[in-house]
Amino acid sequence: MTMTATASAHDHEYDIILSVEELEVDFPSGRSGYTRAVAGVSFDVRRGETLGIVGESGCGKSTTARAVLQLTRPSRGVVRFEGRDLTTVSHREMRAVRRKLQVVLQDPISSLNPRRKVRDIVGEGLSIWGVPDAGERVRKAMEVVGLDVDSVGDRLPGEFSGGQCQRISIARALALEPEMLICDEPVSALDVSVQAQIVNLLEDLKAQYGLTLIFVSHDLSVIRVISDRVMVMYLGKVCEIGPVIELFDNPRHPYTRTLLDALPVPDPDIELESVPPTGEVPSVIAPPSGCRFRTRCPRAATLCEEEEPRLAETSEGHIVSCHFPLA
Amino acid sequence: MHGTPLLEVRDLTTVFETPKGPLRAVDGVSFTVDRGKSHGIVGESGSGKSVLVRTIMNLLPQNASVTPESRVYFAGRDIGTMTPEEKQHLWGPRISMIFQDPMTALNPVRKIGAQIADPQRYHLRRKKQVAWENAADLLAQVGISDPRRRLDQYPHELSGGMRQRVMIAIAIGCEPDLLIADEPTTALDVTVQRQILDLLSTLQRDRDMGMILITHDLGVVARHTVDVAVMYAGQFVESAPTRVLFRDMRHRYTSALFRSTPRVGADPHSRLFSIAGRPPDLLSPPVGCRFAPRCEHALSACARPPLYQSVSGTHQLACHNPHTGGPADHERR
Repeated sequence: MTMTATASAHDHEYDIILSVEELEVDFPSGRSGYTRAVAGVSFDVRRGETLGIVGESGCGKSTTARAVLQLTRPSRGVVRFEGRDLTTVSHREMRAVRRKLQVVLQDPISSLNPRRKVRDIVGEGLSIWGVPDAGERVRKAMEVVGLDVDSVGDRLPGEFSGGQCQRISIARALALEPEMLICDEPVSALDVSVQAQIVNLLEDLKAQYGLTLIFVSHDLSVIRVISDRVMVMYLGKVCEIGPVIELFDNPRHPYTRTLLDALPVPDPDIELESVPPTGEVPSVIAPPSGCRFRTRCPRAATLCEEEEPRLAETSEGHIVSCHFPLA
Repeated sequence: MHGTPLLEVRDLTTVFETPKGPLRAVDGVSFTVDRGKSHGIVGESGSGKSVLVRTIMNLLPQNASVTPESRVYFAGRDIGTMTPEEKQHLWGPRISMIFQDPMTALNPVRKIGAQIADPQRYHLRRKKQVAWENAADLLAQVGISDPRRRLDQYPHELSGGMRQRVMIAIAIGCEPDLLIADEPTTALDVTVQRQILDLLSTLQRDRDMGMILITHDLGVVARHTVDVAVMYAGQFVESAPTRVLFRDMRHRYTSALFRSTPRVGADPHSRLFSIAGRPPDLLSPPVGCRFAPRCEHALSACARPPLYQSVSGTHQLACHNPHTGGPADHERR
């Protein structure tokens, strides 16, 4: 194997909490075929950092997150969390791992059981594990997300706004004192003013508990403020991984550039790149040969059609999969 | 300003009868849209921006009604005094609308061609063949390749961005004077969003249409509108030419909304400005300024409703304690 995201020469300097290698996720489709939603994705997450995963619909960012959690079983590949390959552990062991590996999902309302009291939702993990003084831990978890268990603990999720439901989801995830939190589009359903509250809350909690975060989003501007490193995905593949400022200020993959150029800028005096991105994301059921972005890429050449680019490190910690990376 | 505005909305109030009592989703809104201009309305969910344009389009549900003093004038004529026949040929051909979700807005069991041709056959009495010919032209204009083949396809055979292009082709088919776009790109990916918005702006300019663009995204407003109004809890709180507004945000809600929008130029892990609390319950809104309970700069005067008035020329706002003006650059970065 040539250079992959996991084989960086500088890894020994970091404490790697999660290491994903050549992850593939297939879904059955058609009569006897399958669709490869995630097609050989490799990356590491360092303890205490936030890795942002960004891309458009169908890029496999959510499927990658779910495959790490083993909520969707990977077809191939390794998901090593604190040294253990989660794809091979027993169901029982996986349950134990989930105490340390929690999730916050996109739709804050549908991810909470509408018929259970908030205090029971937040405390469910604790009661499954028979944790002593669960009541106190529920109180604390709700307090850190800004909810008072005495006044709201007996209410049902339907009585809360979207932002508050997302706070409840975060409290539920935190009650078990996890090492790592995977957030799948946690602010996408929220208005900007509420979105800011939740992003700030996640940042506070990360600092307070020394959490490691994977933050999945389609929104580059949210990714920019919350991430330490960013992974850009397209049609089930990794395009580019790099430290956040480096990736935003000096993107090497043409797709990253395209995404950045497409962002609406809230300033009428800024002239945008006049050439808008062309076409739409092709279907993941029949991805293009070679480089998957080539059908929309301004730099595409014959080589891109014939040969799939491999991930290569262009500068320290900045990894790109492109035959003709940007300067 | 000269001549009659294309659309004039005056004191528009839309009331929903709910089990808990009347809810004024839009409360006393006035504005005008000129021919050939693009007017943005920006606000968060529940601000009433969609109800406002649905009221103009006569698309309200049964339990909603407008108050007697509400007026909507189209090309100088009060829509309320038009005959049913006139109204029938107003909504659709002269004022048309594009919706957020192109999948649910298109009929899944009719061919694309028929869906584009139908309004022309009905409103303009065009022959079927003429209308279908025109449909192919329209598809080409909205950037769909191989338009003749597409006419015979069904919506499910197209991607989300293509479906929204078809929606636009339907909306401009009868050459409307006013196009209303309600969050036209919210359901689309960011690269496709840019294409669709650029297409809308081009069509609007080339055809000299008036346009109302509803969005929650200040970035969309900045690039694609000439005038803009900011809506909060059923009311307009500030409106101005777009460039003026971004240079000189006066209302505390406008600048709070602007500051809470994350930016690609921001420093990683920089703290986002957030607005405490949430919008008021419109069943019992605050008596005074509706933003006051969440406002960092609220005064005792804010317990009284602020007047929506002109601060300079075309810049209007409703605030007892606005920004005093001057460069707001320290807040823009």
